[in-house]
Amino acid sequence: MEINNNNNNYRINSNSQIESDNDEDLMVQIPGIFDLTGKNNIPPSLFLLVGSAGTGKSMYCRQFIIDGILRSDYCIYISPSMTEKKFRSLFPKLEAVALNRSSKFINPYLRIDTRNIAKNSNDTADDQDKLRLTLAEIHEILVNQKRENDQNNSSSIHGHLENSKIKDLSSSSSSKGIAIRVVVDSLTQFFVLFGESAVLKFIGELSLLLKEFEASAIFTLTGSLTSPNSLTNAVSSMVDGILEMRLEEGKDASLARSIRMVSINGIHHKPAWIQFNITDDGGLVFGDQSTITSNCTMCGKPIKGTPLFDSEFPFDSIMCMETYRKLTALYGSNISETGLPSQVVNINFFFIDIVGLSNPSLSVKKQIDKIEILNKLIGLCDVFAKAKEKKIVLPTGDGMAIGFFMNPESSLQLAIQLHSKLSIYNRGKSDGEILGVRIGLGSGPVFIVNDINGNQNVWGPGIILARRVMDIGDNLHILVSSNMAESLIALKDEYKTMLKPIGDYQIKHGQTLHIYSAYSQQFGNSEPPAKMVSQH
Amino acid sequence: MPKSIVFHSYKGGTGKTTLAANYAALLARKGFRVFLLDLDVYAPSLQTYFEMEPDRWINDFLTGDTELNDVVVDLTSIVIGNNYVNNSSSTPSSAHTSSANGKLWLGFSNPKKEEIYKLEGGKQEKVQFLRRFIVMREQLFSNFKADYVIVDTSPGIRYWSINALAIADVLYLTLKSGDLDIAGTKKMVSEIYSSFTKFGAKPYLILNKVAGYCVPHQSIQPIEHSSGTLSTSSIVVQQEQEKESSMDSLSRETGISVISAMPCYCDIQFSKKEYLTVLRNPQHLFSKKIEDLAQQSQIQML
Repeated sequence: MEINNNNNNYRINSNSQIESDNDEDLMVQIPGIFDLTGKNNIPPSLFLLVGSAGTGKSMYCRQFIIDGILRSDYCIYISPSMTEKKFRSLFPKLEAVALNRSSKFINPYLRIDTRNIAKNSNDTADDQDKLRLTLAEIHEILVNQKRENDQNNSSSIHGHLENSKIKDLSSSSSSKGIAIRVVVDSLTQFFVLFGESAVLKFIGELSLLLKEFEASAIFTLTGSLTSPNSLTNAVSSMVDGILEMRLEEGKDASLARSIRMVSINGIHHKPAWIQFNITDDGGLVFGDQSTITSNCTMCGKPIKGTPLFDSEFPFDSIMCMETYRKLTALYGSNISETGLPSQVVNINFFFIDIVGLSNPSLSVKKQIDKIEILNKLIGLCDVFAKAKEKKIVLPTGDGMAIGFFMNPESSLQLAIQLHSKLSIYNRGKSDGEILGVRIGLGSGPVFIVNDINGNQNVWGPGIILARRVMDIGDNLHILVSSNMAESLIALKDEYKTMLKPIGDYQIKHGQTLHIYSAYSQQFGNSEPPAKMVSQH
Repeated sequence: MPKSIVFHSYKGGTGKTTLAANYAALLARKGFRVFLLDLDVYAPSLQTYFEMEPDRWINDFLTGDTELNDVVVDLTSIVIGNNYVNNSSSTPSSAHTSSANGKLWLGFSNPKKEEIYKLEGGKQEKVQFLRRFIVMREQLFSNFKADYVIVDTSPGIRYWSINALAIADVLYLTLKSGDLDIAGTKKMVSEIYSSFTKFGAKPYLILNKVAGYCVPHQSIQPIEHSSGTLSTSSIVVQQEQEKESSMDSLSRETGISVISAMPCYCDIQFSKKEYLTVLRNPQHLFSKKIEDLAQQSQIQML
């Protein structure tokens, strides 16, 4: 699953983390990066963000942190005037688990050095201790993150060596590891609480530390660059770039916010003012919002500003995108041409594949022959050829899935009829020519979707279940999910003798399937599947 | 933080509507802005529960025929009094709110068969309806400043119950203690719920109508145990122990915590007329259970 935001490409990995396409270097984004620089991302940099009160500096920092947590970066928020509770309240839409895992809030003013508690030192010394303790805490966090990155990279490299074809998706967002984001909001409050010289020393040491660990950071300062003071100049010399915000009265008496990148070391940019809006939920929307480019896939509303993307589908909010992701997790990613599910039905599935088709000693010609023979044999079965009920056939390469929309007996009857025809076909054949199959039957809800060719397709728990049941079996097994078997047994007595429970089988995610096997002297395989034997 | 809480079940008759309605009323009485939506579109019942015949229904909003202001009905008065307030006199976006003064609005689903058929319309229509449903959720939180959106869904795995589950922050899966319910619930947890919990939705089981209280509660003198739970006699103590054992077993089998086990209260179960027990009789053991559920879920949501 891919997400595109601010023209950057990301993938959602198996741990629901977001991966960048760029695996070579550690690159980061700041809010509005494309509008500000014309680039998708930049190397880790430290920024001074200057603007008068109310321009939106803290909201910009908030967006910087949200973007970081959504990308599984590690975020540190330093504020001398905020409490942990207030910090958390800034992110009502982020899961507490993600916030706990990927962020740390530090209020230097509330630091207490236990070693000095008994010491009756003066205020200045106390304040310096608090800044020193803050630096020590940040250093410890950075060291721990680096250690985790190194471990992840090490295991990732090991994984690559073991199987070069499988990309390790379980590690962090790039080969260099999890990016670090730091916000210091605001330096103005730092100067008031700790004094100028102590804070400048703190910023100097912190900036060196952050550069050493390749962190990105934003330091906010209330003021204006048009009349810079000595503090602004001093802080500017310690960072890589300067961002400036302004607030003007618009034509309709509304407030118009804008931001520009005044400077950034070594990166070409246009220092033009870029408009931005703060939305009702606190998000930042950059650029000309009069241009509506698309509609949200989930809610259908026009998207102002830069949309969020999941695959090719645009969204106007994280909430909409997450709802879409919940639905796609259930119904599959290509759920319809609009990206949304429309029709759910209960289907009885017959899932089959040819045993040993991928055997390397079997020529491609023989593989194709076997597939064609299987197709023909199924076509000869009455229940398939003459059934009046609606059905759907989905080729799978080495077999197929057939969904019957009405009669739960159809899939079992098809399996029985096919086994009868197979026994005739295989008579007198050599080992290499024998056509072996395994069959899984199951029923459940699926969505009707249109595939990329405009053909009708289905996806959902029903077809997944049948596939999993089939995967347990060996040659000649007709395995049946418990829900379908119990429905059939309740339907006709003859199925009681035909369908036998053979036990539980645990599949991935700890899910247990209760399996029945359909067999008699004429069809099926009375032996327990090897996978079940080995599991038990 | 605003939350969507969805009451769902594998089978019908598990008490979703009663639990959702009482839960919503209790939260409103605690001072929250609560919107209770009837998304049991195939068999709506909240309008009967609240004796309402609204001018506009959720169906009208989903089909794009009206706006949300016209659909939600302010029933705050039932939380603080006995009279229903007509929605024309109070709209959610204009109503005065404060954390000390809870609000309860309801959105009803139209029980007319042609309206139910309409929601099962063609493919394109369904997509549009789903989009409107997502807009409804968004408007309730952003425009109407909802603290809680409580949704009563259709049982089982159906188009509208799945849509409702997709917007849930918290999923309450109600079930009775019979084999059929438990087997169906386990199936639904493995096939459906895992898709939602993967993206942060928190599921809990509510074991409802547990046997053991089949006398009107007025005749029972509650006693308090060291564990803090209320029960009524030594027989009930034994039943409590059995109940806890079945809760543990259910949690293990489904991988989902049982957040509450609600006894079967005959005075509620066999009442000819539905009513909100938490308001009519706050001292009722059922009301205490709902109170406990609200407290537990608020802690779990932290």
